Amino acid sequence: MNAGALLALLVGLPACQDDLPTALDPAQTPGFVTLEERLEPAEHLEDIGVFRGFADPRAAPYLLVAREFDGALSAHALARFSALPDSIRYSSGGALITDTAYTVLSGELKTVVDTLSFPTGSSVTLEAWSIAQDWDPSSVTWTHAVDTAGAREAWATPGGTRGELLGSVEWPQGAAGSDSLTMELDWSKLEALLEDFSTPDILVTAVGAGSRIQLGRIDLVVRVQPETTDTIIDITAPVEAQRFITSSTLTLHPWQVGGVTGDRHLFRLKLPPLLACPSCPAGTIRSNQVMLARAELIFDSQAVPGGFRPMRSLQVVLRRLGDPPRGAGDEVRWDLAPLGSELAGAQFEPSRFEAGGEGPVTMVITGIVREMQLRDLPINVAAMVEPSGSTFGFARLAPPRLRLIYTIPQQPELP
Amino acid sequence: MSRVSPRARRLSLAVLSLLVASAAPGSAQSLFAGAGLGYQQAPSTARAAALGGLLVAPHEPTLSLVNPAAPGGLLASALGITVQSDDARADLPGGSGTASTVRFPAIQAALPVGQRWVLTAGYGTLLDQAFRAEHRDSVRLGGESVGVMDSRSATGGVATLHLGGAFRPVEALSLGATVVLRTGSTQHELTRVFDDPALAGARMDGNWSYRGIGLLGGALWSPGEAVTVGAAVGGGGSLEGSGTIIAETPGGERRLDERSYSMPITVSLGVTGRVGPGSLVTVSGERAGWSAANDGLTRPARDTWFVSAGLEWDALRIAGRDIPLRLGARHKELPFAFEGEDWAAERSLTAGLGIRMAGDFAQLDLSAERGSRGGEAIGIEESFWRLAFTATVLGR
Repeated sequence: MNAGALLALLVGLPACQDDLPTALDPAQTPGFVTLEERLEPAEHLEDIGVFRGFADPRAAPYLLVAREFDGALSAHALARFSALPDSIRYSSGGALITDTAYTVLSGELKTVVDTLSFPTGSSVTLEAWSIAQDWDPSSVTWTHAVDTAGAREAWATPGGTRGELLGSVEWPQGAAGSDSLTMELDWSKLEALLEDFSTPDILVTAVGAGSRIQLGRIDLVVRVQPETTDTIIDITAPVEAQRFITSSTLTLHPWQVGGVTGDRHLFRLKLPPLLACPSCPAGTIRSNQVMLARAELIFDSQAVPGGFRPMRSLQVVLRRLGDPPRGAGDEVRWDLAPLGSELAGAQFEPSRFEAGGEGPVTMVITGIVREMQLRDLPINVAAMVEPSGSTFGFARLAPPRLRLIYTIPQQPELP
Repeated sequence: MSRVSPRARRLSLAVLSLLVASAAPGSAQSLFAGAGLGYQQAPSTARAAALGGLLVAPHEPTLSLVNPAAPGGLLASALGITVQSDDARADLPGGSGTASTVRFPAIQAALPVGQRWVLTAGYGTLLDQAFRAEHRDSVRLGGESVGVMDSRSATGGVATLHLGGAFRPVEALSLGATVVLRTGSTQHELTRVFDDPALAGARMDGNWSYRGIGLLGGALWSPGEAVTVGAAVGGGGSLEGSGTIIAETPGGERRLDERSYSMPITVSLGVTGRVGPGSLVTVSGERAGWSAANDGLTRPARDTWFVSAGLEWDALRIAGRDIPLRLGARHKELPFAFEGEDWAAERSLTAGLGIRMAGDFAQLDLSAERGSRGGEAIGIEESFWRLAFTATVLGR
């Protein structure tokens, strides 16, 4: 190695520093300015519209029973079961025996209660009735037993024409914390309805105004005894159709999401071109030039009328919305726009939607706003409740304000 | 053409290994590196540092980035490398801190051409801009006060490359001149961190670059065997600064306004006298017109004095070799205003020794400095220990 190489090596070695002294001089620090701005809805979003029908009440995984809830909403559950089997199998002494003759001893309805949506400390009495009028599960409504294009037949009594009262039960029932509900049916009345293995349709109603309860699937369990033995066997009648009907429907509201119909509000989020900057020469700064500390949408919940308020927490989420397809008339089908990734979400307590319980809930959207800064394009967003149609109650919101916290880049100078 | 002997080469590599190993991270720098163009760092060798820090009139031909006439008369090619460690403690209002650093303040080479000429090249420190500053504050957001920590840190500085030569027309006189290329860059990081973790901080990165050119001329005159008088005049020209700053925003890169700083005319004078067998005294002074840089600076600079004095004598003799011991002191005014128009100065006591090895074809010089810098008005007092090693290898 010659002297030149040595020199080159050493010049290339940086001076090592692992602990710089720290001055506490504000004049030497950046002196960043952080500002907060709250933008009204008109300044940062455009409504696309509210759309309904992303969840089918007939396919809801629950049944609703209510009586003048919030002074307005009543709901009944209807259940249709297939006929009981014409033979039963059981084992006796190790042998599998099929018996075509058996005696029905008793029957009961079994279901589970959505305890999270049932107010603690309250109670409700449920009644089970036979249905005295034929009904169509695919079109039944509160007013009509059949309401198809070819046939339309009103209930003799709106809410379902009742036959015999088969039983009643009060909820809560049994051990605290259990969500199982069992209603013993009046055997003397049930027996008359069980003809040639057929089962009666059941209507479940609530007694006493102001109640609302959400049930799971209703099972009809029949206890039978084969004629050739004294063995007692429980048979669950196969479910053919289960529906619930409500005395009213909730009309669309601009910022209404979720509910039994899976409502969505679609909107376009955009950044204003300029933000306040008192220290800037023009008093403003381009919005894509600020260093964003946080961005959040502030939603004010609103009371949901008509007994349609949620009874359990709702997860309201914002999802990116893909490009909508065009319909036959070249119209934009926003209702068919594909959903993209989740952008933000927040849990809304049910009390937020009661009269007097309204209040702000924030969703952090810092990442979205950074993306808008980068692309300088608005983002189409769907506000919805997830899982869609999982709960009966709707969320109503006021158009959100946008809160931005941002730091103004400094203009350092050479010494 | 001079050649380095195998033995000297082995020795130089061993010394080099030692130096590189000693350049492992230490830890500190000066708070004053954040003032103006930075902390002025003299490109001293360990011998010069031990004799007070400024050696304008060396008594014998030697490598120097201060007086370009000093190598005049060298009979063999030479390579000198200096490594320096700094450990400082700063006492500020409301706290104190320590820091350290290791640097190479001077790397020099000389190549005799004929009997009278010596070509020289070198690398030296000039301005150190490594510093960090913090400030705790609060902002009001949503009606609440949120704590923030603003900080700015910078690393880097300005160095000089010297290319020149020395000429010795007569035995008693040596003249020298070098072109001084000033170059360097500083990386800046400006951040704001919120106490509330829900708030994303802000960060900007900057890169400042400097370049410029100047001249340095010097002379050494030995009217007799006992006295050497030296003078150097240098500087001039300018330092051109440019930079970019990048914020974490789309299109957040911005060019800074360029600045031009006039560099000071520096006049250095020194005298070295032999006061006894194997002992000499040296005194040097320098006046630097840093106020010339005020045309570009945001905060003012001032003209400064740098005076140093030292004593060297062959106090020890080990294995038949003289070991020169050195003592010195200096007072140096710092040129750049620190916070407003407060000025700081540096004072230091120095000591050191030199060891000749490899049949006088290699020399290791060591120095230690204990000093302080600060100013009453500033309210900051920084004390430091500085150690330096210079390894010089001569070719045959």
